[in-house]
Amino acid sequence: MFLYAAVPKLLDLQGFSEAVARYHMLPGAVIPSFALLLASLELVLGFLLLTGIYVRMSAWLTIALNVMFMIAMGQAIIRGIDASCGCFAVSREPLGFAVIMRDMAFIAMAGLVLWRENKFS
Amino acid sequence: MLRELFSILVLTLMVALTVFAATPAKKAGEKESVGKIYGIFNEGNALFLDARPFKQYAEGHIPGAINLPVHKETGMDLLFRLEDMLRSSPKLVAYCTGIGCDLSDILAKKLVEIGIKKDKIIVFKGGMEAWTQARYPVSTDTGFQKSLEQ
Repeated sequence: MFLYAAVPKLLDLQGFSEAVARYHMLPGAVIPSFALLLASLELVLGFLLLTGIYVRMSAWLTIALNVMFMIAMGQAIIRGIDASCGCFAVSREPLGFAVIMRDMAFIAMAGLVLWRENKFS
Repeated sequence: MLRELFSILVLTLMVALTVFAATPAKKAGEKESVGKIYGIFNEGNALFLDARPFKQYAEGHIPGAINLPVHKETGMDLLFRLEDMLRSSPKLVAYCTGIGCDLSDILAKKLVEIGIKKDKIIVFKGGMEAWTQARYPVSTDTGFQKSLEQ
């Protein structure tokens, strides 16, 4: 999922930066760098989870990232910011309960990876 | 665990640097993101130029923006009258309605034609659509504009 989400973001960094800006959480000057690092981290985590390298830490970081996304989306919904999610590149998918639930599912999946790692190590 | 975290962060940084290096540098007057434009707006040393017709400008524009509809004669007159002000401004941000309009490109071209350096002109292609969508401040005050036109 992270790989699927990261590649279009890296290919259209400007569009992704605009999506990040619409959340009104960061000063304008840091948004392009933040967007670049965020999409890069998603790509790396997707690759590591897929190949089974550093699985435990990747799963923890996946959980942390998704919690961050949920906070960002939650504050945008509460503040009434009419932003698109920006979850998969510059998609116009609106923010809402369904997107937050999807992030919770990703957290559960990462939790499952951690549980498996603990069980079999 | 810390070693893993460090390795992941290094990998992330390497990917970011590679993408950054592979992304072509923007030429002057190219599309800028709304976040970056907002940063420029907050710096306070740029002059914002609204290329739309006055009616649209009056309905809402970026605070402090000057209306320069250079596709009309009145806009061209004002452009020549404000030449000194435009030259002395460190940055000029031209915008119109959004991605679908080209009035900001026409304005940028006119600015270059009167001798303003291309590298200080920024065309904000997202325009008012991107600005309002991002919920950045919008002004309907036309007092300054009217004083310029007198």
